[in-house]
Amino acid sequence: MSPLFNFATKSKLIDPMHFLKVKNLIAVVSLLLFIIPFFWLKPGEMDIGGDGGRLYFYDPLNQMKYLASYYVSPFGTGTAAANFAYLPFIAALAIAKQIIGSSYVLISVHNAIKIVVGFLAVYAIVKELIGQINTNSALRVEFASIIAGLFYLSTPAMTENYVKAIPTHNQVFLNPLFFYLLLRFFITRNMKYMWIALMVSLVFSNNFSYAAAPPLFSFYPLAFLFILFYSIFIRTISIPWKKLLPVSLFFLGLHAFHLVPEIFELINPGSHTNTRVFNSESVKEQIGYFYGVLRIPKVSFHLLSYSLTKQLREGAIIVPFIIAVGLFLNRKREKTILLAALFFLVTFFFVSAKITNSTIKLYEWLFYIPGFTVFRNFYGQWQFAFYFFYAILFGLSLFLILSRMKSGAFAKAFSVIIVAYLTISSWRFIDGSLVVSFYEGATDVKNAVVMDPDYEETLAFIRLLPVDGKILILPFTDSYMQVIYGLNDGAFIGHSTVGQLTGKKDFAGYADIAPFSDIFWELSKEKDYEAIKELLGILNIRYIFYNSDTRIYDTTFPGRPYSPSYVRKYMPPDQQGYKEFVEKLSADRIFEQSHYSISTIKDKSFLPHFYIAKELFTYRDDPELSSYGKASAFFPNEKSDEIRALYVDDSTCQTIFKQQNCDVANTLKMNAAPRIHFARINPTKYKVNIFESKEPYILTFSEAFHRNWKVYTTDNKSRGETTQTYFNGEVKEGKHKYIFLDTATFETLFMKSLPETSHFIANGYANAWYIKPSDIEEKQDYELIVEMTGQRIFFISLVLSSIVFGIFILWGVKLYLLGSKRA
Amino acid sequence: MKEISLFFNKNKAAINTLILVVIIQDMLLIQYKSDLITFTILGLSIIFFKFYKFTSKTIFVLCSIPVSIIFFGFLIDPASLVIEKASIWLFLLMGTGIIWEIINTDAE
Repeated sequence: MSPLFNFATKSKLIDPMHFLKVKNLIAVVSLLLFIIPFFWLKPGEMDIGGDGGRLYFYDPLNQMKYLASYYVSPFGTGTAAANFAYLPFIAALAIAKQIIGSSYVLISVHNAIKIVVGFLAVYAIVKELIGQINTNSALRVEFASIIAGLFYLSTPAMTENYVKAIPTHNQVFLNPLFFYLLLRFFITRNMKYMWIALMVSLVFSNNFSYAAAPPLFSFYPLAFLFILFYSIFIRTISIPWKKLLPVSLFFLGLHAFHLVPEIFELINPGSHTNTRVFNSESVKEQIGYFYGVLRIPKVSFHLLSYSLTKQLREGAIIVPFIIAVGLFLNRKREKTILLAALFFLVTFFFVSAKITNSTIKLYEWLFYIPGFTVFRNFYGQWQFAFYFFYAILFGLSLFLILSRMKSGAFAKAFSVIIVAYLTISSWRFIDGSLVVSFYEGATDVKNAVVMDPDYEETLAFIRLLPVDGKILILPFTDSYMQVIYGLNDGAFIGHSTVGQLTGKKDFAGYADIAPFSDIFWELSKEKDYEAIKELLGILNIRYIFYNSDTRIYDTTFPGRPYSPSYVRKYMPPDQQGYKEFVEKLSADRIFEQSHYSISTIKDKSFLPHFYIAKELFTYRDDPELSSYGKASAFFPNEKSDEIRALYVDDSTCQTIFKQQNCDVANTLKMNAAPRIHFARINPTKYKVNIFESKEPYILTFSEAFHRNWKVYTTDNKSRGETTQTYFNGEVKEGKHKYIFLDTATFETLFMKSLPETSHFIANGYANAWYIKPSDIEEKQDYELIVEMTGQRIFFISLVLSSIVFGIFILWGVKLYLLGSKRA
Repeated sequence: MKEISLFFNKNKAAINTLILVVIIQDMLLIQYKSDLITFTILGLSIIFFKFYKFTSKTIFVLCSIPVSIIFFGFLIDPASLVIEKASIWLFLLMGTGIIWEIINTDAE
């Protein structure tokens, strides 16, 4: 025997019996669980697609720069959207990627954290709760707690959502982790638990933002209530309210950088968030949605927590059976299990909705509570909270059964059978076939992709494009998706990559191109290329990105995102048709590599980001038209060849141009046309120099209308270098920048903006300002600063969060030092 | 009143059997969901549970009926309405048992 083996045996390093002792069991299970996700993907592959977008695993730095740092979305017309909550998580990933260098490892580690932390937290909670039940069997406590953790991981909500997981899927581990930390804090009053909870909440800020409202409000109020009842009625301990106050203040301070802009968006009348929460018409729409999805889930589905393995479906009965038996065996009437059962019942009502017809009606009434509409997709939103309380109840019930078994061997055997059932029934999850799957209708294409380096070079080229114009992505999709075929047998289908990773706003599908969506499809079907070019001009689309890969359109994806009954009905039927489509619309091909090419739209029809309108057409809005078809009310316009025509609905025209004739189909000629020069500072701030302005004029900014786009005037007459000129030099485009923060960031803070009455919606989506000489003190040459003031709110709240973060770290150091002293 | 009480006490076994049969019949034979039927049966059951001073244990034992029906329902036809209705009854009985036990525990 070698000395090393001798040493290892003596020191019990490789003694399997020692290793498998109770106290090591949890370590072994955790280790096994941690390893699992590393076998799901092959090295180099990435699971980055889906609705929510997971590109932060692929290119966190660029996504942080272009998606998460500004109040303006990098998609389509550039609607105002606060994605700031992504910042800490993406920043953490960016640092991790610098160190690790592999997206595959990042994704695998992230999945491993979800599994292991979720498991350990449920294990620890059940163990803590069982601790109150008198027992002298450590082994049975351990088994019940471990099985509860495994059951939690094996429930459908946990296993089925790993594929293309959206950021809020982090609740898989955040829910039990926060529950455990709060529980421990209530019991021990040790602030270190709250410090850890606050730090984790900061890193995963997105899970505590408006976007995460449904999971947040479905779990945390109930979790808090459970712990409150548990502390008061079972542990009979007082509630540490005084300690909770600074914790709450720290939470608000640390999260101010995203919560404050979100609150402003919530109270901003007419904003998407405001409408969703407070508008009664919207509530009716949400109730309609609720009834639409009501037929999908079955009551039995949640109660039985179906096995993923069809052959084991009958075995699903084991869980409610154990709970019923556990409740029966609760001879001493332990209140803990009753409390868990009560919360299980409440969440079961919310997750299933249709226990009886009366509960459906009750649910409908709940939608009239402001904010409850976030639960319109009720079974998706409540399932995580439900399975959490289900797992707790299951663990406690199982313990009561195990503790009644006189034979230790029998208890072990029973536990092993349940573990075996849970393992086998989750096998499709364990082996990764549920996570790395094949696309519907494209059975040989995986959702895990190895990114094509040619595509990466294309993205690098797009970042350097000099013109501040937008990009049309072809082939066009049903929604806002983009398809990129990888080097492996996989493809990326997800929220378009171009805007998020290059900063150039892109139109990848029907939803992006609103309000021109319907008319764009109709014109494409009719092959009316001249009208399409005009349409693209109005949307400030300068470039066409075309992916000619036949594998993404001709041979592989017959269904979504290129549905035959949807986008394929209107757009070219195959790649050959698309080649002709691109040629007819474009002037020059400025880039070509492998399947990817970039062309420019002909100058004649292109409208720069800023321009002065020459003609104004009035139209009457048709309320029958959807938000995707609104442009059909005024476009195409066959009355004029003027490219710089502006379309305004008659009521807006009446409000802005009081003395003018605003009858429908009337044309107002705008004689004044000062020369302008514009340059971007960042996506939320532009500088426009005006020259020889003598009469009123309309400044048009081809970016989605928002009240918070404000115009300020300064006397600065200098302009930077010019990169492009349009309309015989009447409009000049300068060198664009991407400055996040500098000394001039707050230059407009105390300036007075142009009156809001001059700001109106034009072309069905864009911002326009009617500027009179009196508004700018009769000056002729001056500078306009066009700024999204929502960004300012973000900057101010970021400063607040940074200060609080500094104090928070100092508090953490103090807690650590105090802890060390005590130790 | 006394006569009625005496009658129920005399026929305890028969009445309990009747309750069971009605619950099982709702799960197995009525092929639609009716709040009127479900809540009437549940309400009557609760009245008799109270009258006969049933403990929550008895109600949890009753849970074994829908559990068994679900199991056999799976074997026969996994897509049948029987499984759905048995799940609803399992929820209602479990809920009744839990609330029963909480009330009684507090009373003690």
